[in-house]
Amino acid sequence: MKHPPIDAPADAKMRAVGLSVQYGEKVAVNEVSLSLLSNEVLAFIGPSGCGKSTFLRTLNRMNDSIEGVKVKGSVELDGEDIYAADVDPVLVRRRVGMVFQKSNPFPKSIFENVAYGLRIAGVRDRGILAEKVERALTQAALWDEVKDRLDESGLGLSGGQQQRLCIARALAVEPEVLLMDEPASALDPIATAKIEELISELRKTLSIAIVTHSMQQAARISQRTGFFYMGKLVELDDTTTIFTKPNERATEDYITGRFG
Amino acid sequence: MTMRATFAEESARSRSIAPSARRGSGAAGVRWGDMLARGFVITCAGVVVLATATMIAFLAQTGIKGLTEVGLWPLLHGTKWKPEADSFGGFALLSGTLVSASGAVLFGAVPAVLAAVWLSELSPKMIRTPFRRVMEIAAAVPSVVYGWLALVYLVPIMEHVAHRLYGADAAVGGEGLASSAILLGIMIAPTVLLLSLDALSRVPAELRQGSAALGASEMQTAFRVALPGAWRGILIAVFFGLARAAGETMAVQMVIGGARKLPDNLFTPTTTISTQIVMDMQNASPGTTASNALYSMALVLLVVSVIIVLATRLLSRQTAT
Repeated sequence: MKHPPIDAPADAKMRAVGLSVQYGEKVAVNEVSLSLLSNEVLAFIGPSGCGKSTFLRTLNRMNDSIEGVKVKGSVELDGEDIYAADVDPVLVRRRVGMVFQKSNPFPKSIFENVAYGLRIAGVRDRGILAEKVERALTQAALWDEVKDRLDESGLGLSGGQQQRLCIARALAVEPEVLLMDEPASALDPIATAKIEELISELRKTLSIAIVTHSMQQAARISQRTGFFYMGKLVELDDTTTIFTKPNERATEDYITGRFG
Repeated sequence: MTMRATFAEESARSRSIAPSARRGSGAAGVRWGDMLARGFVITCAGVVVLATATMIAFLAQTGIKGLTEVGLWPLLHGTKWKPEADSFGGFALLSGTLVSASGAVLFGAVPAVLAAVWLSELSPKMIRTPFRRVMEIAAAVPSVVYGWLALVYLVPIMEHVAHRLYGADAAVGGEGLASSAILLGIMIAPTVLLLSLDALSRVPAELRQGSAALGASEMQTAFRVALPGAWRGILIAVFFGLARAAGETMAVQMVIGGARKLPDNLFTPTTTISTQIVMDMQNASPGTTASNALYSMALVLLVVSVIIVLATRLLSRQTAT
C-alpha cells in the first residue's frame, strides 16, 4: 500500500494534518491528513472499525470526553488549530455541528429541541428564537410537517422526522461545518431519500463531512470520497474517480464488495 | 456440516412435538414441579398481601374507632396531647412530623440531588465509584446509630446555634425541630443520592452527546439535559426520602426533646407522631381511648405517607413527557 497523498490545501475550510487517535494502546486513526473544502460534501467510507467515525469526531473534539483518548497532529478550522491549548472545545462545537447515527432529540418540545443550542449560547429574546427556530426547521425540510405542533414532544415524531429535527437543531446555531455520522443508517428508504436531498441543499451554505456505510449514498451525495482502512486514509479523490477507477487496490476491492 | 444439519432437525422436531408432550406422561414430572413452584410463589405473594392488608385493616378499624371517640378535627387541630387527662390534640405531633420531614428534604434531599448531579456529570471519573460505595455504607447504617451520634455531637452544636440566635439566657436548647430536621436530612441524603444517581445513569448518553455537540458546557448539559431527563426518578427519590423521614422514630426520639406540646421555635422540645407512639404505647391499655387515639395518629401517619406516594406518582406522570 502506497502512502496516501497529502491532500491538505491550506485554504480549506477544515484541514487535518498528520492526525492520529489512540484509545489506550489501540491506534484508531493513523496519520490522516485531509481537507474539507467550502461547500462540499465529503464522504468517508470503509469497513466497520476502520476509524472513519473516530476521525469524524476529532473534527469537533467530540472524542475529548472519552477517557484514555490521545489525539496527535492538528485539525485546523479556517487555519486555526482547534486542538491548541487555549481553544475552548465548546466554541469549536458551535462552529462545527454534528448529527449522530441514532437520532437523539431531547425529551423536550419540538421548539425547545431546536432552540436548545441558541439558549445555551445565551439567546433569550423570544422573537429571535422563534425566527431562528423557523429558519432551521425550514432548512431541515421539516417546518411544514411540524409548524402546527411545535409545542409537542420531539419524541412523538417518526424516525425520519426525528433525524431531521436533529439536523434542524444543529443548523439553528448556524454552524460553518456539519459532521454527519451515518445519519440515515437507521431510516427507511423514503426517509433516507429526504435526508440525502437535504444534504445536497445544505451544501450551498456549509461544508459537510459524512460517514456512511452505503457506497451508493456516498456516490449520490458527495463530491469527494475518502476510503479508510485500518485507521488509515487509503485514498481520497473525486467521488466519480473513487467509484470508477480508484488508484488503490484496497479501494477497488472494497467498492467491488470483495471485503468489508 | 451433517452434524449441524441433524442437530437442527433434532431441535426442530423436539420443538414441534413439545405441545403434545405436555399432555403425555413423560412430561408429567416437569408439570408437577411447575405447579408446585407456582403454588409456592402464589402462597408467598398471598402471605405478603394478606399481612399488609390485615395490618391496614386493623389500623383503620382501631384508628377510626379512635377518631369517632375523639373526633377528627380535635385530633388534628387540638394542641393538647394528654392521654391521662383524656385530651387528644395531635396538632403538635402532626406538625412535628411534617416540619421535621420537610426540613429533612431541605437539608438532606436537595443537597443530595445536587451532589448526585455533580457526581454523575461533573466530577472526576475516578472518585465516582468510591463515593458511591461510601454512600451505600452510609445508607446501611442503622438509624439508632445516627440518633446516638446526633445526640452526642449535633445537639450540642445546635444548642450553641440556638443561644447565638436567641441570646445566652433564652429558654432554648439543642433538642427540637432544628436538630431533628438536620438529623433526618443527614439520614435520608445517602439514599436520595443513590436513587438520584440511578435515575441520572438512565439518561441516555446520546442526549449528553447531542447537547455537547451543540456547544453546551458540561455544566449546561448537566442541568439542562441530564437533570430534566432524570426528573421523574429524582422526584421519586426525594419523596421516598420524605416518606422515610416522616416515619423515622428512634433517631428522632433522641433529639426531639419529647415534650408533648407545640414548640416555641425550632430549638425547643416537641414531639412527632412516631416518637409519641413509642412513648405512649406502653401506658395505653388496648380498648381505651388513649390506645385508640394513638392508633388514629398512626393512621394519620399512614395517610400522610400514602398521600406522599400518590403525589409522587401523579407528579412523575405529569413530568414524564
